[in-house]
Amino acid sequence: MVVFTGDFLCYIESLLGNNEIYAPVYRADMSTPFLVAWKGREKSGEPVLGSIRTLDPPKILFFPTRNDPLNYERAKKTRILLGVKNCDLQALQLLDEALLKSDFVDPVYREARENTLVVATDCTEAGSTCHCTLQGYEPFPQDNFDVSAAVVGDRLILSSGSPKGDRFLTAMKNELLPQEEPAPLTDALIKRRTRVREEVEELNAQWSLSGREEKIDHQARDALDSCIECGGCNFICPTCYCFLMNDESQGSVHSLVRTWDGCQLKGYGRVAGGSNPRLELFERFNHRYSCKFKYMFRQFAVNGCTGCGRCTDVCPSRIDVRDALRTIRAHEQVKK
Amino acid sequence: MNADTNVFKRLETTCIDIKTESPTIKTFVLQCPEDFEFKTGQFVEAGLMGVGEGPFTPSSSHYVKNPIEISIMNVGYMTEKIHKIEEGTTVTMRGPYGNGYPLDKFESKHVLIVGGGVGLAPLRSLMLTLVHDIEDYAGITVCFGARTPADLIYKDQLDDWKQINGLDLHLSVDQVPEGQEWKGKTGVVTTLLKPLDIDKKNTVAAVCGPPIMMKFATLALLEMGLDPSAIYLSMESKMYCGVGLCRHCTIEHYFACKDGPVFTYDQFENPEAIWV
Ligand SMILES: Cc1cc2nc3c(=O)[nH]c(=O)nc-3n(C[C@H](O)[C@H](O)[C@H](O)COP(=O)(O)OP(=O)(O)OC[C@H]3O[C@@H](n4cnc5c(N)ncnc54)[C@H](O)[C@@H]3O)c2cc1C
Ligand code: SF4
Ligand code: SF4
Repeated sequence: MVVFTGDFLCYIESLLGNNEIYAPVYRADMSTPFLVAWKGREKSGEPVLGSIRTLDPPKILFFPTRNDPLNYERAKKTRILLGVKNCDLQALQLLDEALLKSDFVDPVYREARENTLVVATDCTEAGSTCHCTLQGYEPFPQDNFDVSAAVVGDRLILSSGSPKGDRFLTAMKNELLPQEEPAPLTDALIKRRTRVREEVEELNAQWSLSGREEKIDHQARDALDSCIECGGCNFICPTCYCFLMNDESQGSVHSLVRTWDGCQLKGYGRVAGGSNPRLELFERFNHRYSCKFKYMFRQFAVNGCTGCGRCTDVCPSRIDVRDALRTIRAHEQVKK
Repeated sequence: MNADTNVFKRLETTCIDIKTESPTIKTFVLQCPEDFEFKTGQFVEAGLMGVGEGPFTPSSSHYVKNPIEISIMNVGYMTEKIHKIEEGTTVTMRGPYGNGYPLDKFESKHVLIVGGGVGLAPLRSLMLTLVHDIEDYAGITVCFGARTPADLIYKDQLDDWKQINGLDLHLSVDQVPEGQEWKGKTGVVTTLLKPLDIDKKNTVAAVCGPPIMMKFATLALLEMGLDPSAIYLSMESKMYCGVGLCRHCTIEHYFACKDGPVFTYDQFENPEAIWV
């Protein structure tokens, strides 16, 4: 189904009454879009349907930084999440496997996931740290979306990826005038997808998979020493979902509090009495990268790294995850 | 698991008896609202509402479904608080979780049980469970150790266990401080292993205790000629949820809570790195 982008955005805006809408928008002079609670074009600005993935990973909407899994707030409205890129769709795939399809289900994640319509969009450029292609992924929606909306010129090519997406598009058809899908539009889409893929590949030529070494080398180890242990890489990663839990009480009111945790932080593995399986910084790097590139794949048959590049962007010490691909023994297999 | 049940929901049990086992370990007898089914070697998340919870293995036989017993060492925030409770206090619990001991694989084998410290908790459960069907096994040898005589737990039951036909109990303490009495062996628990006269080819071992003890016991068992696949380790690893969600307990690509806590030594890719 093809519609004018302007019509589509008007339609989305008309849904604000019954839905919470989240969308990427540009803020100030940032070149990477922000994910915001979108209140309409006038208040929040134009949703960015191209560009690259947002600064924040979508996990913040499905797995809040602090939550009580026994008494979480039930959603009052359904949610529409606009502009999810392929790397983040694949990250949601991993979270689905880990938190929905495992032996035990995470109640908070399930509620949020069931309640949200995911509208995916194409990347129209390559970010400086993007490396989805190194991880075996494409810079356009492959799967795990409800609706895919690919911008081409002033139009959007829409397709459904789930029963939820079917229902959304059927309802939209009644309100919007569908346009014909002219062949050149499809051609333009294929050309754009090829161009962006080539851009990402070119950007990552020096990290080509064939250059991967078996063992960590000492130079790489020295580079890792500059880590200041802020945990940013964990928290910004769309597939990191580790949490810790505490009981809290105020008088007779008790709550269970879950907070994000990060394995790059020293206290992560510390047990009562003080012993710690990963006391050394290097051991924690090895663990994090092993988790991303080996354990998660073995556990869920989904890559633990989607190539979004956020951990590299956020790192104050400029430690690049792609160097790890080359130097850490952990890398085993990439999907697709 | 029913998807509609919140995995974090806790059962309320009543603590009906508390036994002081050692200066740091107490056994809590918990009356559950209804029979609590578990397999020996599985664990529960137990604690106090508003204080916290943590993973503990029932130390009672799995044939006794109510009340169940857990032995807790006072090492941190919640365990300190629970050591202060009195009979009648509500203790929360959820589970059971994890795999437990694969008893079918122990059948007609000689079972060698090796433990130290609070590691005796799951092993007591295993031992009592095995004793229930003692004729199914070629024999049971138990080697329990403690730092000092005062640290040895289940002291009030040791004499009864010694009377059990088909069960061979050995005890040792690392050291005997002045003022304490000890008639048995001294030395780390591994010193009990070497003199044992058992058919190594037909033996499986279950080991639990402080990491350093587990490491040396495992090495001693290997040296004795046990196959790595016959050495069952109850692995302890930091754990918050107990159900494979929080990821803290990861050992290699395993979740200690779901794939374990009982592992055979041959399951690990890099076994030297598993000891904390
Ligand atoms: C499968 C399994 C079975 C266990 N069985 C027993 C037992 O029968 N008896 C016993 O005394 N101890 C047992 N432990 C260890 C026990 O869980 C910890 O000593 C206890 O959780 C410490 O809690 P705390 O609040 O006092 O310590 P804190 O340091 O305040 O701990 C805070 C939280 O960290 C986690 N944590 C801290 N230390 C450990 C640890 N060693 N292992 C796992 N999680 C930890 C817990 O979630 C705990 O709630 C077992 C551990 C595991 C993994
Ligand atoms: S490891 Fe880094 S590049 Fe890979 S998914 Fe996580 S944040 Fe993105
Ligand atoms: S973001 Fe960089 S500095 Fe911070 S913990 Fe991660 S690797 Fe270390």
